[in-house]
Amino acid sequence: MSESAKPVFANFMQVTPTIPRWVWQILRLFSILTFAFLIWSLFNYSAITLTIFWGLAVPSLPLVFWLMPGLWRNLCPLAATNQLPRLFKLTFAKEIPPKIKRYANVVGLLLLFIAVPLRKIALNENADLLAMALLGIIGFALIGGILFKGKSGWCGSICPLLPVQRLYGQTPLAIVNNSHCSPCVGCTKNCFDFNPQVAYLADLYDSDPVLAGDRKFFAGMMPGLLLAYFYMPYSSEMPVYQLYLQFGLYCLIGIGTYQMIETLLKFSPQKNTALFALVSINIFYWYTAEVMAKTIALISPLDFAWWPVWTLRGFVAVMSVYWFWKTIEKEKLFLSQTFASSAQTKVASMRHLKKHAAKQSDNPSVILEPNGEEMVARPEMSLLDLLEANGHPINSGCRMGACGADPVAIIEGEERLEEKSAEETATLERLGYKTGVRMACCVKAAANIKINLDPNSIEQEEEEAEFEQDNSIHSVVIIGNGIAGVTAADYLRRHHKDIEIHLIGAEKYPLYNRMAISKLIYGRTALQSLILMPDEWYKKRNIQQWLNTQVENIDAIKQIVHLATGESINYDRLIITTGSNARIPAIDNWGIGGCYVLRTAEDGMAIRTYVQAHKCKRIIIAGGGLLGLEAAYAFTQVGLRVTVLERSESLLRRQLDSRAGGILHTYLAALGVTIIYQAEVAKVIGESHIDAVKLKTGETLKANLLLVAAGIVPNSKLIQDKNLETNKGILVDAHLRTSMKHIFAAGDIAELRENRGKLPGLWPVAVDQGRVAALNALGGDYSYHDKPVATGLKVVGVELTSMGEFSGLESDTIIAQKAGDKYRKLVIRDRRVIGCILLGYSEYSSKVVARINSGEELEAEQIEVLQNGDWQLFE
Amino acid sequence: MDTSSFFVYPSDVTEKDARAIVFLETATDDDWQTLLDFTSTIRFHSGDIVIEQGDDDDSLAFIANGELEVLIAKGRSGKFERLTTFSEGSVIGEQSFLDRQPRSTRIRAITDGELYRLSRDAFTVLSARHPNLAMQVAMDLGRILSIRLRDTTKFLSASKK
Ligand SMILES: Cc1cc2nc3c(=O)[nH]c(=O)nc-3n(C[C@H](O)[C@H](O)[C@H](O)COP(=O)(O)OP(=O)(O)OC[C@H]3O[C@@H](n4cnc5c(N)ncnc54)[C@H](O)[C@@H]3O)c2cc1C
Ligand code: SF4
Ligand code: FES
Repeated sequence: MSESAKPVFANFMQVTPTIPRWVWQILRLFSILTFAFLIWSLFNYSAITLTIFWGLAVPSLPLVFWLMPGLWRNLCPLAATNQLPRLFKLTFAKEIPPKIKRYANVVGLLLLFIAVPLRKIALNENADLLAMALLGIIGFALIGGILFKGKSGWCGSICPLLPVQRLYGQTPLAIVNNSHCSPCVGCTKNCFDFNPQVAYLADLYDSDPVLAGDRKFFAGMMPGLLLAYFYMPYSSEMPVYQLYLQFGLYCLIGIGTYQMIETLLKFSPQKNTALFALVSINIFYWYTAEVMAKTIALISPLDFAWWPVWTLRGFVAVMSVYWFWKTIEKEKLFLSQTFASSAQTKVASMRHLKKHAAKQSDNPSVILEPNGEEMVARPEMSLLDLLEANGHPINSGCRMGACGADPVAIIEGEERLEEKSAEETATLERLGYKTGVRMACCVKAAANIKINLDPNSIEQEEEEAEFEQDNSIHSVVIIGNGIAGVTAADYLRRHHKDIEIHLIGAEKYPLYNRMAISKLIYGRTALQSLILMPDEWYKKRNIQQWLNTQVENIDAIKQIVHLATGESINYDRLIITTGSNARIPAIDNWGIGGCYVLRTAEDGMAIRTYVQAHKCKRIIIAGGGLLGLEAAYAFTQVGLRVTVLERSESLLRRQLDSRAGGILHTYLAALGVTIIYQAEVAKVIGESHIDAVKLKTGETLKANLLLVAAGIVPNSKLIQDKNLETNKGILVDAHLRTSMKHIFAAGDIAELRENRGKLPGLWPVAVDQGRVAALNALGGDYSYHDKPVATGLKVVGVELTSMGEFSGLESDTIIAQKAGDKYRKLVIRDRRVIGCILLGYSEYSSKVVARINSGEELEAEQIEVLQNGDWQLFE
Repeated sequence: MDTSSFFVYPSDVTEKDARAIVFLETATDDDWQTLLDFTSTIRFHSGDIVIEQGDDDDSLAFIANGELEVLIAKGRSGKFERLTTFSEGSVIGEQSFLDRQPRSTRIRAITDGELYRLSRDAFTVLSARHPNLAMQVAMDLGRILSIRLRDTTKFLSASKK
């Protein structure tokens, strides 16, 4: 058990006492003896005793009440007497009848009101009477102690000084711990001895208004009572009833003033009572300072002087302002605590939580350093899922090891994890991590591990690979700083220490995670966190970055690229990785405000700005492919109404069959996305800004923003070059060489001759090709062939892996099983898995993908087992 | 207003729980199982800061066991002191869960224990998969907030008196 924090307003049982109880007991014994001595000397040496009692002892009490009330609460002889029966276990410890409890304060207040004027009439001069009165009171205190439990028989109820102590003592300068109540028996509501700092506030805010009433009434009458005593002229001829009447009037003026301030100035009860306490204590010491000084002069050899009087008055004045401020300050904290602890929310029964705990008591756990948070893993979850579910700041993009957004350091237990896929290995290599770092999206925490979100917390050894480098090459230019371009640059440097590498990008930013730009729409992610490599990465590799720079054209004969800035760069080898643009179908009036595509970070941010500036409510997305659906999800996250128009009859035609599409449809519809099939935009309606779209069917739909996500076209700008053979993209052979010997192309822009007409437009392809192009540019002999790539849909709650030929031919073995909103499908040809759809079965994803990649054959009985619904093979 | 949190006398410890607002009282065993399947589990250790003041974190949490304390920075020294404690069965964090504002207090574990977090994303998925249950959860959180609001209103009108 750790040391828990001190409560904001600790009660006396939560504080370790500085002075042990037995010391207090001894002190209390002295206190009772002093009281006895006082009575004795009142009878025997009345004059001097009266002088000291009224001139020094009584006047100093309020100072104690005010600054250190606990001291008096512990030492008061009446309290000591009241507590004797409890100490010796001779009390009946009865509960005070509720009626009496309710009026206890009134009784105390009345006693005080009777006592103060009585001083003028008799007590100030008549020692015998004073002694009898004191004896009477102590008798009451004792009887109260015998009958009632705790301090409720006197100290906590009808003691006439209690209201004064509570008013002055509500913000003690020093807290002296209650040493009477051991243990506390809970005898008094909002007990001052239990929690002196908040007892007064608690009364003021109590749901029983009677308590606040008592406090407010007394605070109001206090200045009047004091003024009546000190200021009001009095002569012994005055009849008693008139004296009381006058006192009463003074008190009522005080109470009236209190009401007035509350009503006219709207002071809160807390402020108002504190103000009255401040005024009272100043009135009191204004007069008694002089009385005390005079008393001292009378009983000691010292002469009366004014300076001590003014010192005391000044001290009280300054102190009271500080006290007032502290009292007011306290209220905020008091309310915070009250609201924090008022009625907590609880589950009705622990049964469900316990059951859930039992279910996962054996699950492995992931410990997140440096703070040591322990997350419990579930078999189907990746580390990325786990971190996200627990609200940790981690980026993501592809969710399959390709983009490099989510490297984490594995501090402990790396050897217990599943092996890396080729994709993940390539990504880690690009990022420069060799050991101890994994992509969170690729790791299933099947064993206990310890991780750190900062991948650089694991030191990497510098790589010093030996290879032959072709020194006839001096300069390589890469056009486009997307993932294909940057991967190429990386591999160029790895295999050539000396060449100049120019990386030219039209966008303003260094390589960022294009796959995650839809997150810019809902603003949970800033562009900064999408940037994949820091500036140092380029510096360290001596890669010359040209940001915000367009290449105008290429002179393939002279081997020069011309920049839009007018500059030009010579090259020995050129790698073109200019990627693709969004395809925009023919739409009438396209281009007015509110028409967007989503291809660059700039697009993402512009959409967000537009949505806010134009208070958009209805969004239409043309295209039910991966990008369209991801964007649709992004818009629902900011509470917008989204309609997706899909040209065909089902969603994600390139990834799903119609059964899987149906499941996905249900889910997205439940998220609030409307999907209309066989719908295409014909026209945008609106003057300067879009108001609606008109479909080819003639139907119009209201819209504030139209996002077209209808596929991609290779970046056309440099394709016009007459020296480069092109089709849709730039045609390349398996070495990724274009029709010009020294020019290579990779990524979205490259179109394989052997696969004419196909443009996969996928990140992992761009990575692979970037590597192959770079190695071949340096004289290597590597080839790239088209191969299936796994894709997923990055929408929360959709766990999808689709890969390869997921439709299959009639001659293929097709295993397709649907269970509720989950769907799994394998296409097997010649015993090899050539395609899959896994929807809601992320636990199989890595093994199935590996199987498709490896092309390993399945045995006949394995196929049978799979057909029978047992997929353990892939777990 | 209920100020009894300052005066938890040793003689009436039972009273504290009696004041709790019950969350999802009418949910069935199946509902609970479904709901909890959407949560993720954290094992905390005494001294851990489970929720940090000012953090952007919009999840709701159920405490399965252990005890935690709510801390607030007091005065100019900024020293953290305890406002209240939570124990097993408590549901915490509903405010940030609903309004997505940063956490208003720090919550630290006093003992070891376990809690289940329901993130907003998980809730989004829950609402698509089990709309009825999600609706129940949302309505109940709304009810709890409304009770709180009533308390506040009552308090405000009372404090004016
Ligand atoms: C929202 C979105 C989500 C996606 N999700 C996935 C996914 O989940 N999985 C997946 O595999 N793929 C996904 N993709 C596709 C993936 O991002 C691309 O396949 C990949 O970025 C291609 O990389 P690239 O380097 O070939 O081209 P690009 O990333 O397009 O980079 C090309 C760069 O070249 C620059 N350029 C162009 N012309 C010039 C010029 N003349 N001069 C200078 N610079 C120039 C461009 O400005 C651009 O920065 C997604 C794409 C988007 C937009
Ligand atoms: S409530 Fe507790 S602390 Fe207060 S007087 Fe009674 S026994 Fe003492
Ligand atoms: S590498 Fe993990 S999200 Fe892309």
